Amino acid sequence: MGSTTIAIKSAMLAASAVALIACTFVTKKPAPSKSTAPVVRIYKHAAWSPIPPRASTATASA
Amino acid sequence: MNLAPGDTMETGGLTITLQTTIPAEQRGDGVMDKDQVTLRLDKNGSTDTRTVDEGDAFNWQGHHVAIVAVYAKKGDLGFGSTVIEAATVDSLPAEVARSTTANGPEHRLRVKHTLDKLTLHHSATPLNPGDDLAQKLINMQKWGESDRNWWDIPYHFIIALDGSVYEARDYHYVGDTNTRYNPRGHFLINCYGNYMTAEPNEAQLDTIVNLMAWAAAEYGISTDEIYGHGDLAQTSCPGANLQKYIDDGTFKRRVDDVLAKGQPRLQWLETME
Repeated sequence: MGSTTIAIKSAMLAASAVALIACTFVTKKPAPSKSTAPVVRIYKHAAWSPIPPRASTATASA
Repeated sequence: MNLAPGDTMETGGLTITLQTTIPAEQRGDGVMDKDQVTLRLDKNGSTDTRTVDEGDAFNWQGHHVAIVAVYAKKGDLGFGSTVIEAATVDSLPAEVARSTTANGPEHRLRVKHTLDKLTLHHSATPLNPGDDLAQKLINMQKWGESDRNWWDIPYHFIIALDGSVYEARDYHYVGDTNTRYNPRGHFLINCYGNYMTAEPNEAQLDTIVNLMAWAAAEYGISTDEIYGHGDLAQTSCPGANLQKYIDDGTFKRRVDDVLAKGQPRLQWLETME
């Protein structure tokens, strides 16, 4: 009786493990594909910022 | 815009033809420190001819015209060219529109443009490992203000030895040049260094390609519109060791390859102190 119980429990554990593994395989999402487009690193224009315009000449129609 | 005698520029229906430049020492009127130019002006059937001193400005037929600089002396950087600004009076602040002088860099027009060309330059001065590129850019900016009457660094982006990029003039605005081509519409990349003698490294080449690809995608610029400065004006810029990659189609091919994968992303970083 005792050995039968152990055998049944072992079988249940094994089945759970198989199910867990199967579940893992089934539910595992593919890793998001990394963009292959490159990145350009740009230091902002701050230490050498341009002189401010005397008046707002930015929209001059030239 | 930079004009040589015989060149014309057009803006808002006004056509300006630079007829002659007169070096200060040849004026014969006792004024020894100002070059002079003679302009022909045409608009809607009206014509005028004016002789104007370097640094002066005037209004005519609803336009404000400023003689920003005249490089009439042999040995001058940009020898033979005259820098002229013109805009409609209505588009200018009153202070600028009524000025009779071209004034300094704080008064230069900041003209927005639509980008349609990708143009490569170099600095023609060496860049060595350990050099402080930020300081070099500050020096370039100060020189541009004091010697060229520019409101900012003339290029839009500067590439360092490690392939990182330094933002320069806002690329939404037309750049500047010492030579005779119109930089309107040009996305100006300067690979800092002297590429007549030095070879660009792979990091620099990658960045040139990626930056060009970003702009090409952003503005729909054809990769047939990749130029070296020397394709547009009489200059050895950007140096034979960079120009060869334009001439043999390497940059075009590599930019096309990048674009096939998608537009590069710009990552903006705070300035190094």
